[in-house]
Amino acid sequence: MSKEVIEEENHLTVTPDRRNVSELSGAPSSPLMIESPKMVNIHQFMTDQLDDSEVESQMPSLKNSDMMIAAEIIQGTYDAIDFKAYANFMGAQHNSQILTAFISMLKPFPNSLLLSLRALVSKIYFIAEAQNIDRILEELSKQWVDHCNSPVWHNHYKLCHIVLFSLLILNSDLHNDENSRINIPKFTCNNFVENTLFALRKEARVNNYSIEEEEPLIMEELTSYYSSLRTEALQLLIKLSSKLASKHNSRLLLRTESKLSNGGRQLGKRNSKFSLRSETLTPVDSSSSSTYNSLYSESTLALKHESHFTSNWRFHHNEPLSKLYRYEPDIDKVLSKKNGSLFYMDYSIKISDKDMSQSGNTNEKPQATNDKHGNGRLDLFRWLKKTKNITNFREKKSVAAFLEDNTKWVHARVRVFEGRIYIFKLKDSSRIPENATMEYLKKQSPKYIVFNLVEALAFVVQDNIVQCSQNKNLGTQHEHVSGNFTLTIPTRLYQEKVVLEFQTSTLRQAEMYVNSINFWAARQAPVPKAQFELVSNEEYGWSDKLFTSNYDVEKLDSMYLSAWKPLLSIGALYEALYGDMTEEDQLELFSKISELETFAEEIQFRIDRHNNNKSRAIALWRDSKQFDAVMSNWNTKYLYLNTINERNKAYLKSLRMVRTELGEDT
Amino acid sequence: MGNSVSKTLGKIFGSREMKILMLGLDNAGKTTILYKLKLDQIKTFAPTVGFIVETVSYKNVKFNMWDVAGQERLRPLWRHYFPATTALIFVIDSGDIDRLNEAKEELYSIISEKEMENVVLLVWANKQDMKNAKNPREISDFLQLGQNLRNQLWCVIGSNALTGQGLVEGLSWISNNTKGRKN
Repeated sequence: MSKEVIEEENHLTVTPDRRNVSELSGAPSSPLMIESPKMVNIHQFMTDQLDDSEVESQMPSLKNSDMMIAAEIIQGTYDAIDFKAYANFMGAQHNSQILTAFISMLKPFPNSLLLSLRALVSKIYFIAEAQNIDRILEELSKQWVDHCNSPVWHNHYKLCHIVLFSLLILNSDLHNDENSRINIPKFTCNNFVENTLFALRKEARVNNYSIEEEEPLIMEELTSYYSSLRTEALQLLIKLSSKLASKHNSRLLLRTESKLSNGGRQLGKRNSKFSLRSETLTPVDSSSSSTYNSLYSESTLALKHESHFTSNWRFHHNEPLSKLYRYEPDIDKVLSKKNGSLFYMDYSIKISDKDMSQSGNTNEKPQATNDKHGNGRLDLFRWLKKTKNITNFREKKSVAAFLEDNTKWVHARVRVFEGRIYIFKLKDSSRIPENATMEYLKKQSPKYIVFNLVEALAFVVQDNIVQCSQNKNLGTQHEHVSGNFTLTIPTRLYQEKVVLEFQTSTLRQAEMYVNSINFWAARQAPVPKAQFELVSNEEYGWSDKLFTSNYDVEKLDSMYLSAWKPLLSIGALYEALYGDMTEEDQLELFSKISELETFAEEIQFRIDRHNNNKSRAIALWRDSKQFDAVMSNWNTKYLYLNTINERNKAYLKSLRMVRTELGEDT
Repeated sequence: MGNSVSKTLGKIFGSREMKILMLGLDNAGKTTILYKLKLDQIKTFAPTVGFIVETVSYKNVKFNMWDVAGQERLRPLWRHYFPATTALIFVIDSGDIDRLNEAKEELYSIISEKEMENVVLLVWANKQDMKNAKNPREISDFLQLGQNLRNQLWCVIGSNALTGQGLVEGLSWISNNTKGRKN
């Protein structure tokens, strides 16, 4: 704030010395808040307040303790809560007494509502939930009309309340930094005045009085508020004391606010869970990650946007990986460590290397091992990016390596556990100890990579393709036939879909890998049912209404058809939003199974219905120009339903195996 | 993190300019939704006096959200946000049967405004995890959108702001249905 304000707001001169102009204006030279208060000060302060006969007459019922808290808040010394949470605290319903005391301590009020609002925000860090702000402003309005005897507003505190609130909205519209980068026009003065007036008139009508007479004055006042606010934003109070919070910290504080704010009022029981989430920034246990922020603040990391690679980055740098699944002692404790199980697969197998061998041989240099933090890493990604452009889940292109005779298979140690797959490329088939540590494997391997298995899908190639060349091996028995499996890791936001092909020494082993991968994928993946439950009036060409309406061709030709498209689900964005899935997001394993079972039935039902719709849609649209559009819609949806269905079946199958494994173990 | 969230929005909405207004009764779950989508984090740079997450914007996409809280007298102020709105999101607590009617009234009072005639309407039937929650079909029947909204695209999606179910789907629906439309 500056001189203009002071000139414009001559009422400020009546402010008591203690809160003089320079303090109000937030000049850095004068501390806004007293660092460590002595109780004496507070008592002094309160005595001052209580001596004011006006205050006393208005608040005979206020308890001393409430007055005390209010006084501490106004001085910024109330340390039961963070000072950034003051506004939420006072706005809470059960703290109305403290609020009343606090507002009264702002007296005498300026005659201008805007200046009163400025006075308020100069005394408290004023960011809060809408309802809490609402209560604070209402209290200010009440005391303001009593105090100011305004010729415009009389005793209509409700009208003042509307104006104050409207000013606050205006302030964020005009001055929110993020807002100013976007092209959507800001409120004009006219809009602001008109809309506020609209609300005022409505309120007056409800209360059976008219503001017609005052309207010209009100408009004038609102107009002057608009120009004042436009040139001078409401200033957020800064605590000019000890720890000036860094941006990073202030983010944390901001987030904590929502937790402290409403004592379960607004979010109710959800709040408790919710706040758990906001604490993901702090390490909870040693196995969980430290902070994602630290990761993202590493500006040196070229791939920082590609959060899919979060795990890899952490893995390379020996940072602990976050836990991806809901740990259930009954299940995980019993089963997780046995190699060759659903929970844990760790063998030396082979991975298709055809793309890598084409992409130059820098990787093959002996020093590649020492180069992991530099070029080696980039090459690693190039290797992945080569296997892209696969557009559909089960596109048969993906089994190309299996069919081609000249495919080069390279040795790799592939470990699947705890929701991830770790692939260590090996130089040769030399033995690696069965329970080699990650550290050891990393050292042995010129290249390695980690993937989260959320929504991944694996299948055994031989399930789909029966090829006689298999038989040239020793026999047709399972143990002697090598197996192949393909792993598809779905498209994430910033990255192509990844398809990896593996070869195992036995078919059985391929099956085991597939089960394990699907098991971990299923355990993490949310069930995408929202898409199927939605109700909309979009027309794709097969709604009941359409089938029963007997429209003629002309009507059909001119009808607005939406293009059917699968909706993105949170699964697709998970890593972008959260880095990783967190434990609280997961259903318990057996609940997951039953949810998937229900979902499977649902999907089957949808597929049947969708099939039924086809002939009806063809009959209806046959002569219309939009026939192709409808059929394309129908096909897109059909493919999607099938994809989901197949994945769902694979997931269910692998999850159900837990029952068998548990049975075997006990 | 804020950065990747922003990218998410960019990914969903492309380069179109979007102004999205999110309304709902208090306690419908709007704040939780914003937090779940991590939209609150966008605003961490230079906070503005006022509401915690009243406005969130990233590049070409701007969210305004508003509690249809107890104070009826403040509701006409929503009009501040109406001009140029692309999509209206209305959040309903599907488990709070007692207040469904109130929510319905509010919804209609908003969409009957002239400036809202051309927006696409997404209703999040939120809190699907509650035992007594009405499903999207029931909510849609209750709101009678089919009978009353003739020229406007609408959609009711079941959501659960705790698990994130339905949230991205909803934004994605908005995106699918506003392409190529002028505002």
